[in-house]
This record gives sequence, C-alpha cells and structure tokens, in this order.
Amino acid sequence: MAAICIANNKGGVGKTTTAVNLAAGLARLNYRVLVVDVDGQANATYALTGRVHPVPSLYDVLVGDRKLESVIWQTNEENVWLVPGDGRLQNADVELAARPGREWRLAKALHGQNYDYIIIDTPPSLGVLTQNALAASHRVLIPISLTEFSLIGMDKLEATIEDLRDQLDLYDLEIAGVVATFYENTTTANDTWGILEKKYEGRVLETRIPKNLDLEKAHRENESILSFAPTSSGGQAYTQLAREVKRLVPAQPRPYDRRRSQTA
Amino acid sequence: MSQRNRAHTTGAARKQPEQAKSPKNAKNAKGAKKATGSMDAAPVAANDQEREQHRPASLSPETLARTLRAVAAELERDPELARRISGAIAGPEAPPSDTALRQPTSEHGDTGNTDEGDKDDERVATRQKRSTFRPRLITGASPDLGPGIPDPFTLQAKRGEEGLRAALEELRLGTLRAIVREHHLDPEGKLTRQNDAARLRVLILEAVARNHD
Repeated sequence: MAAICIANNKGGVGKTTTAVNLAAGLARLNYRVLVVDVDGQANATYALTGRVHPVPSLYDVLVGDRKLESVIWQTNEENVWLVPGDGRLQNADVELAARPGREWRLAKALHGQNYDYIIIDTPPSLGVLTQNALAASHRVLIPISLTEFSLIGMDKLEATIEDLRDQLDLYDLEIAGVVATFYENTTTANDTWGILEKKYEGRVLETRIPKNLDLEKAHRENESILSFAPTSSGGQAYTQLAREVKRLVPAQPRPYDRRRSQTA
Repeated sequence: MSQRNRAHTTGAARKQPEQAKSPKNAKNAKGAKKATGSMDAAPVAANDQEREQHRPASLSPETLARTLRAVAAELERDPELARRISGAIAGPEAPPSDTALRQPTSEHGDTGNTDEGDKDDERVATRQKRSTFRPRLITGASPDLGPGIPDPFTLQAKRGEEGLRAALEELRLGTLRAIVREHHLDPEGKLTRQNDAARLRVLILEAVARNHD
C-alpha cells in the first residue's frame, strides 16, 4: 500500500486530471487503486462516476462519524474505487478547525484499507483538508502546468509540507516528484521546464503531460483517458506516468497504516 | 435655465427616441413635440407613468433566490431541459439541439432546398464538425441510481422499460461502458472499445429485454 497525494495550492494545474488518469493507469498495471476526492468541487467524483455532489460522501467521514467503508464506490474504471467528495467539503476546513487531531482524521479513516495505491485528490488550497491529505500520504506528487505563472507559490507548498513534517512527525512524507502538465512545445513551456529541472533537481518526472483536448472530453464522458482515447497523446502520457510512478513509489504488500508516523 | 433646456438633461427626455418606436408612443412623442412652454414635459411624464404601471414589481432577494433554486432543481432533474438551456446560453454559434438544426432555415419556412439553404446547411455541418466538443451544463446522473455502477436489471424491474431507457439516456459513455463490463454484455469487447454511447444503450436494453423474457 502506498498513498500518494496529488497537491498544488494553485488551481487549474491538472490535479484532478492527474489523479483520475494516474489511478486508471495504475489499475491497468493490475493494481487495486482507491481514489479519495478531498476537493469540495468533487470533479474527480464526477469524472469517475458521473455523479455530482453525492451524499453520503467523504464529508460524512471527516466531519461526521460515518465509516469510510460505507462510502467507497465502485467507479466506471475497472480496479478503481472512490471515496466521493461533495460540495459540503468546502465548509469542512471551518468545521474541523477546532477539533483536536483534525489533521489526522483522513489517515485514521483509511487505516486498514487494503489497496495497492491510494490516490488523494486535493483542493487548490493549503487548509485543513489538504493537511489531512498530506498527513495521510506517504508521497506527494505535484503537478505543475508549464505556464508563465506556474512557479509562483510553489515555495508556499513546500514550506507547508516541511511544517507538517515537523509538526506531525511525518518523517516519511516526501515529494515523489513534480510532473509537468499542459505541455506544449513552446519557448515558455521549455524555459519553465528548464527552471523546474534546476529547482527540483532529479525530482522532475520524465513524463510530460501534453495539452490535449481528449483529456477534457474523457472527463465529460465520465471516464479516464485510458478508456476514452488510450492512443491519444494524453493517453500515452498517462500510461507512461503510471509506469514511472510505479517505479518511484512501489506498492507495498501490506494494508494502509499511517500510525507509525503519528506516534514517532 | 428654461424648462426646454432642462429637458435635454433629464432621463425622460433621453427616452423619447425609444418611446417613438411603438405607434402608441410615437403619438405621444408627436404630442410632446407640439407642446410648448410648461406643457411640453407633461406627455412624457404621463408616458413614464404608464410604463411604470406595466412594469412588473421587482422581486425580493428571497423570492429571487427561491426561484433560482427551483430552476436549478428542475435543471438537475431534467437533463434535456438543461441541455437546451445550455445550448441557448452558448448562443447562435452552438446550436442548442439536434431539433434546432432541423428547423427551417429561411423566413418562408422552407427546409433549405435552395442553393442558399444548401450553403447554410453546409456551414452548419462544417461548424458542427469543427466544434465537436461543446461545453454543456453538468447536472450529473440522478441520485436515484444509487452509488457505484447502476444496475440496469434492477432499474428495469423498478421503472419498466421506458424508465430504464430514460435512465440510460442520462448516462455518459464511461458509465455505459462500465455497465456493459460489469454484466459481461459484450464478451468480445468489440462494442465496448468503440466510443459509441448509442450502441451501448441498445446493447444494454436488448440484454435486459432478453433477461425479462
């Protein structure tokens, strides 16, 4: 079991697209994958099931006392399961703020789950929900769109990860890598890629996700790019990304357990 | 400042050209032109009063919110309505529905058999071909379908054939493919590999009908 958080405090960088298609890619490598939609916009939920803001959802687990098992859904993708999100999660930051151990609620809920990978899609913020996602993860994958403004705010995400590591003793939480999205062969994109390579030396993934309309169409059809258009440029890129992630973050043959960090 | 000069600076005076568009208002406008001195603003004021009487009362924020909520609920319930409204919002560049394309293209109601009509059809077809990806209002599948992949056999039992057909119409390619996969309706996977929602719907309906018989 390996839990990977897809995080970036910037919006529109391809977090949900990466979460959904990476999950499908890993599933095609015969892994059992659980996607957790922590984002109140619930776009991953829509992309994998066609449902908009279903109830009950992850909100009832984090804010209420519902068991996680009761909100796990089979998705349209074979070997991919989902803990759906819904709009109420947008208020969860406030509702969880005063609760003790608020950053650990997701990790506790996931305890004992037996999947090969857990992929956590996060909201574009660094609030309590994202902290829950990071605390529940072993690795962080950061999608960055290769555009002019993409590097602004990156330091903030890194600082948050560092702070959490110190505050919660998440000694094994590491950045697995940075994945470039919306890639086009332009001077801006290539220059940004160069800056990324310098900044995250050795941690920028080889796979670049191209700008590809089929990725958006696949969301609209409530499935992954690997079901909708596997031979498209986006489909090929996510197949390659899944292989790369499998190599970087190998699945462990044991159930989910994040308590070691908590008590360290 | 004289009243005549002052009239140029008032809203009432600026409205005059607009009001003259309707025959009734044109009459009033003429009357206003004939009038002199202190009388010249009176017909305009009367006209304003008349307009005020016919203007619907403005809605309170609560009423407006309630109305919009009702509209939103209706859109979620009825994907066809949502699609039509989405098409209308997208404007004339994106035809709202197939039926809109079939409407007569000329003022006289012919179906476009003339050269001009053919050109129009070509233009529409080209535009359609170019923009196969049109944004739409996302309403999502009905919550009544329950969690996970919908079961068409249960749906048939609960809602009958028409109900099942309506439910399948709501579903997108991914969910239809998942239903076919889960119930092993396409063992060779030929249809499942194609991105053809209509054929998948037929396949599901046929399988359910066979099971029902």
